[in-house]
Amino acid sequence: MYKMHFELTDEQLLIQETAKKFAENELKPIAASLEQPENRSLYLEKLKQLSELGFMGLNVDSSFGGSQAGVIAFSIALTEVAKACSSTGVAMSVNNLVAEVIQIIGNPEQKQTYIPRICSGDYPSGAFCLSESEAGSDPSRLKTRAEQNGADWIINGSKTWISNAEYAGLFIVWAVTDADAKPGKGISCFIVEGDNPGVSVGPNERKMGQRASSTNTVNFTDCLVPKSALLGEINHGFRIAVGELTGGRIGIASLALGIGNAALVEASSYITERRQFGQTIAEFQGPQFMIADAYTEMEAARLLTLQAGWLKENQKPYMKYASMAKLYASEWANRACYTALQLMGGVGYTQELPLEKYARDARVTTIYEGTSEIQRVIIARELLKDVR
Amino acid sequence: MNFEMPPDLSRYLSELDCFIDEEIKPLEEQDDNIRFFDHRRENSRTDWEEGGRPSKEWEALLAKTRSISDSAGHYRYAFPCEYGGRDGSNLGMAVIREHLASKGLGLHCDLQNEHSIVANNIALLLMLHYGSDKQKSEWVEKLASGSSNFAFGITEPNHGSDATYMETTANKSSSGWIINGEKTWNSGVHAAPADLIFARTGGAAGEAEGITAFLVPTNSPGFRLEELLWTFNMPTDHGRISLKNVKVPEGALFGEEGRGLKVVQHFFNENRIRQAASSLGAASFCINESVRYAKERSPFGVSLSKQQAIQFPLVELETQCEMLRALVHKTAWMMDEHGAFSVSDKVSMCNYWANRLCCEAADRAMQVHGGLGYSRHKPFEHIYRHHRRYRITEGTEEIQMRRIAGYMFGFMKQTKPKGV
Repeated sequence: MYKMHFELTDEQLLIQETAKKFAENELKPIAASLEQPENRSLYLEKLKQLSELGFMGLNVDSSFGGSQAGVIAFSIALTEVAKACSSTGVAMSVNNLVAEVIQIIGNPEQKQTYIPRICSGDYPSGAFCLSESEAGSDPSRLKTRAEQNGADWIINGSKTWISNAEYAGLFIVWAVTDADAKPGKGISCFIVEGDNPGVSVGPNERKMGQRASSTNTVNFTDCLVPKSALLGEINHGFRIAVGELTGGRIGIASLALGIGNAALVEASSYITERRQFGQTIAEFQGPQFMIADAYTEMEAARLLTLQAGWLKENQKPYMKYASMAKLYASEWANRACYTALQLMGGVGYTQELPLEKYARDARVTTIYEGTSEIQRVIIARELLKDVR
Repeated sequence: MNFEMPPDLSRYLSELDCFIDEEIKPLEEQDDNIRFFDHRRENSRTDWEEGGRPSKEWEALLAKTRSISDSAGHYRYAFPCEYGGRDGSNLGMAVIREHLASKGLGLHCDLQNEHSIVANNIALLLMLHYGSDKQKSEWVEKLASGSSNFAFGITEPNHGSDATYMETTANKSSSGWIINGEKTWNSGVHAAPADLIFARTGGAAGEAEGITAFLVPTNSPGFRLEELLWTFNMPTDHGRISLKNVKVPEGALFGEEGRGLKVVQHFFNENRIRQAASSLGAASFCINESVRYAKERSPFGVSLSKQQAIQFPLVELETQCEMLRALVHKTAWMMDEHGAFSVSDKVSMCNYWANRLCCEAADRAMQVHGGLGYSRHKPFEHIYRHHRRYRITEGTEEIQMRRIAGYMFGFMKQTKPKGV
């Protein structure tokens, strides 16, 4: 048996190839147009197609309609999708994670009810409702409350920066259930169905990048949910937020890899064609070395991401590695986009080419799913814990 | 606004260059003294049999150089005329130290020993400012001429950047003071007749007040040089010492009782801006040598100077040198115009950035020169090793940034450093 090897399995290769074909044929030609709000239905159609390919539950058991292909498969598929359209990629990442979180902490009934709806595309997407206007990087400061009303719960509060809220079939909502507990304690997690009358979704935020996917404020006003909506243990929701969501960082790392990679491919092909001073730009060492550095760092980011995925897949501690992968890959993706822009000069700066879109799309990857600063806090905490 | 170098300073640099060519270079070239600078430098400078300390021949040669420079009227440049100096300014010192370091390794300037034909001489600055009449009469001339020096005992094995937590104590006795404790990184202590020891005489750990400086003879009973700490760059003159019931008379007190931190901090801006200027000069040297070499070397039939991979990193370094030079000059000028404590934050900016830049320039020079650069036949490895030290001594990079942050975020007062 191998102690270490770097080859993908046949199944993983097949998934990668499938994702690549889908991205190139179905997504790339329309990615720019998906940025227009009137093309939302086309975007949802693409999400539906992804679910038909089994990509909305790649790391979910087949008994719940998942593909049961593992975390690595999820990572490499997401990278391929994000090469063409990171807005589609981010919905794929969130949906996979919603399904996984329910699989890990949900009760049998919740699993049977909700996971198949995510994986099959019955729900175009799920959404996590954690952030609030005054609780961003520090989710322990939540203000949204859930109060017991007989056997039911009533949720009141407002959540911000909720990805895919407009077409979400379900929301996973964090709310304070014990107001007297210390910050970080007394928080619980609830599943709220998208058609609950107590839910209202605010207007789509106008964003720098990843415009095809919606980002909204979600308000919960006397939102009544049954007892069975409680996800996981009562008053232990914060642990879910800081623990089970870790897998999302592997998702964003994989997605950032895709964006940066796509930008570099554009630039590489451009510099081998463009001639200045009697030779192609690729013949100058200045540009050569920029490309060499960017690709070297990309491979480092990829290995770090796959390592985090492998650790998760093999049920080993992976929090530190997921943060490292997310931090490094997202920071790298931004550098790579800017390198690519620099290499292509004025032409890369125009909207004629997808490069400026890659640069806009990459920017949020160092902000959402835990900012770079928060990743560093986690990494430092985890490794100093190991040292002590 | 005026960016011209003061004409008297430009003239003085030419004067120094002539002096180096006429009196210093010949000394470097005679009696195989070049062994202290060429590929044999570390070995020639180090007495491996004596704990790795500087060899007697090396220290004698440096002493001889100081004496020649003092006779020629350069050594005391920075000091008042009444002590034989030229009333040098902070700007003058910054420009001179940058200039000397930019000439590369040589007897004119050896930063490893804080040796230079134009002395920095913090000990003298302190003596003139804080010494009692008796201490001055004993020390001023010796310090000014470079014939003797005293070491500094501030850092302790358990307290570096946090000097206010020092554990060394001095207690009053019937006839003076009794000092107990341990000090480390006391540079030059192996050859110094005295060590300026900082000890807590009152107040509590963490407080600036209550630390007192004492000029302690190194031959006092109970004063022991435990070891010289071997470092990245050898030889070492960095001593770890212990003090066990060391008795000193009342007259050993240096400055005011309980205000010793003031003594340490008083001239740190002068020292730090000069260190920055030296690093800037050494960085320029590394860049200039690399440019020269790139023009000579033509692998694959193309001059290295035409390869952008060689050009661009050197361009980045040169750009940073120019920016830093402007900031060093401006900062030194402001120290002259508005006082040394008017721009403590900028001094720290100059310091940490210059030291880091010099390490990067030396590293790049090694890369441009390839195997030759890595060898000791070129000075870059020595420059790298020495300036790597500057990123730690005279306030670590982190301490410099902490100071800048202190002013930026309003935790410290520019004109009121702790303890002064």
